[in-house]
Amino acid sequence: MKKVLALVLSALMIMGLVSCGGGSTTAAATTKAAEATTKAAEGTTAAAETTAAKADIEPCTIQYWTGERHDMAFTDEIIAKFNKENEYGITVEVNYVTENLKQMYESAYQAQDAPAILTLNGGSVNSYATYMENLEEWAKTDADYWANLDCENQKYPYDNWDPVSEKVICYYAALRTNSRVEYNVDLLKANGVTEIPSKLSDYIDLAAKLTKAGAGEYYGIGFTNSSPFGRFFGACVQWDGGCSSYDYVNGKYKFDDYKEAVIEGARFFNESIAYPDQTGVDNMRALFTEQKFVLWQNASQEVGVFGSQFPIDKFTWSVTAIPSVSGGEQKGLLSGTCMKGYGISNNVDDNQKKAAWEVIKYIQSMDSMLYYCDCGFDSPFTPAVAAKFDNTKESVGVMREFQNSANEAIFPSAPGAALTGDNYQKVFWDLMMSGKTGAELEKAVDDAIADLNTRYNEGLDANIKAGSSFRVVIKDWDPAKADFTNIQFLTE
Amino acid sequence: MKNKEKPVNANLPKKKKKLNKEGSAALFMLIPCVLFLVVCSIYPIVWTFQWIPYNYDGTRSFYIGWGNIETLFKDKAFWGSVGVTLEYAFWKIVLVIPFSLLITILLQQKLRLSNFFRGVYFMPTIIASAISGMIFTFIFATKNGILNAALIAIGLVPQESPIKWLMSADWVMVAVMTLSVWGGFGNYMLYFTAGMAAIDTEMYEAAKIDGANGVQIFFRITIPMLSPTLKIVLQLALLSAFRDYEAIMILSQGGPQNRSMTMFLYNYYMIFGNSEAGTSAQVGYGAVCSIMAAIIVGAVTAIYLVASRKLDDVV
Repeated sequence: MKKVLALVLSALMIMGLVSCGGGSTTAAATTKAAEATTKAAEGTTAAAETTAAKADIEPCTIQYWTGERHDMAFTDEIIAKFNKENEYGITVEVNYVTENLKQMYESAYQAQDAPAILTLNGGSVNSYATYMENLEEWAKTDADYWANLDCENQKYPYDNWDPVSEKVICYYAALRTNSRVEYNVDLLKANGVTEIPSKLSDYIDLAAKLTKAGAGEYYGIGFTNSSPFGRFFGACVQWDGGCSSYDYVNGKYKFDDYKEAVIEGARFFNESIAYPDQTGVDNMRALFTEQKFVLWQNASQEVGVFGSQFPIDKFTWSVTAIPSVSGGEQKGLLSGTCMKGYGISNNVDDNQKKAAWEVIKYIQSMDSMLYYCDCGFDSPFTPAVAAKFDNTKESVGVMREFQNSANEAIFPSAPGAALTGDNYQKVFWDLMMSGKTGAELEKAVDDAIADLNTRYNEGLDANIKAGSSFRVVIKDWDPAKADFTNIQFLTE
Repeated sequence: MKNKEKPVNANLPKKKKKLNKEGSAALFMLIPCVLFLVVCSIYPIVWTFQWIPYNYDGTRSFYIGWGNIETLFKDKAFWGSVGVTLEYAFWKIVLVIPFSLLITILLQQKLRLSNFFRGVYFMPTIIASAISGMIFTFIFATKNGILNAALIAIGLVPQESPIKWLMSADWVMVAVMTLSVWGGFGNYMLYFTAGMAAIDTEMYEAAKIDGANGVQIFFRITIPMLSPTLKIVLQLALLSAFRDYEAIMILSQGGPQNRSMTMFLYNYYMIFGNSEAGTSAQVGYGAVCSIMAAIIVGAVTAIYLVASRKLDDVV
């Protein structure tokens, strides 16, 4: 009897496994069929496709994934509105994937369970190009969308356009500025400080003064453990017109311009100026709202964060420009990040793709984009929206301070390098925290720069040889203009 | 005669048939396990090997031949992580084995609340390592951390300069080892408890009658009789020490200055990327690192097994 029972249980387990596998096979077959249909449809004009899409969308529920939490209020509102108003019976379900978004998306994609829509931000095209529809084909079908999103000109290598597959995976609607200094106005006033210095060494002196005054109750400055170097020192170097990582003129990685910033920055730790713990960015934001440090550096998403996620209601906070290493006039533009792009997964069925396109058109309509900027979540990105945007509106709030300096530009992303070992941000941060000072620190920084130049350029050469990257060269690159009209993609 | 032979001939095929039946039942019951083994172990291993000659970021792959292997031998960060792992494994074994043995012996004394404390000490084992990593982040925080607060309260550490447990390359290993010992000793305590239960109590009684003191009993009876368990526990501790990375990833992310970057944590960052550091996945290179890590773990285990056999001969 026991044997029979064991056999029956084993058979059940195997049947269970087989049926699980069968599900995937069916899904795979369905997707293949959908792909075949898509391929068969190639050759028809994009306009015809859209006309058909508008007429043909069946009521459906589609998934929309985003890693953006700072503007959750906007997303929830706009999607709820779309779900209520759309005439196709489309229901959008939003999933906020704020940790390991790429891994989660890849797993879902491999399992034929990718969301129809994914929020994309600048620099992410390399990671997602394989998975996404060529949005240019969809955008061409809608004149309003094409004009409002400036699709004719919005072709940023590695940001929304993939030079390898030549796909445009999304069009961006908003600009996230580079870092600014965000500060606690009340604590600065209490210490008799009226101005944030524009020179890095003076800025460190100010932080030291505040730490001393805080006597353990609060510190002058705080840093997160999540890309802390990039949130501050990259901007310091760019402000001086320095080469931040990639030398566009020669088409090579170059880290020499960081030397001074790293040596100065070590003071934050050698003199125990910074808040002693570096934890996740949200933890540090919470500490800033609890007035545990006075100075904090981050990009313009903080307006949304400090408005809803970690509301600052105990003190006044404001924003000013990041200090430069030299403290002199601004010589280079800061690299902003294009935001609020929406891609369509290429392995969802045709009906879902059409539904996703309707959602994207809705979220990126002129009204929605203006509303987004009016709420103070980010700055307008396209000329059409910028022309209509009024930054004097009260609702824009602190975002106005981020927009004050018209010094942001979209830099062409540096080509990918098959890097081994630590990236430059980690290397420099570790050096600053190493406890080394004087000549010992200077030598360590020189050695690190030489090593980074070698490793990154070897990694770039390897990628170019393998065909996964191009050497990006802009012979007339000027950091004060950041114009890349004459960009070249070389294979050597 | 024929009547006698007939039953013998008739029995032979019947016996064979019975064996086949048992064999097929066993085979049938093994199928699920074999399937799981193939899907969860063998396939991933084969999958790993296939990416060795590729530059693969998880989405696109490009053939680069021996490139990843050449890179491995030049990668200071990887070999640094091997050094950290060896150091970590050494300290873990040196600390966790005697500690868990000591706790086991104390709990064997049948004191009040022994069973309660056995449960308490075992509890860390059932807490997910990611959670324990998170808990210890609060304990080891420099500012407002529980440990620093306690040390300051009893005057061991001055208030103005709390210990930077997770922010200093000098201290981070102490924090990581504390978490590791806390998370592991309950498990080894159970192995030792089982091992000690198998020791005949008459041996202790005889030793006591012969006038042996506690230390003599421990070294002359307990340790030799526990040696088979000890060997297993050592091997398990060694293997787990080489594979630890989840809790460290939460606690210190391998920093500062890679001082707590263990081999498997480095491999993880290579294969999945490190969003905190802004690095993307390098699956091909991560595969090479993983294979090298497996070779290193295999070599250390082999050395241990040879050494333990030699020790058996000596003892």
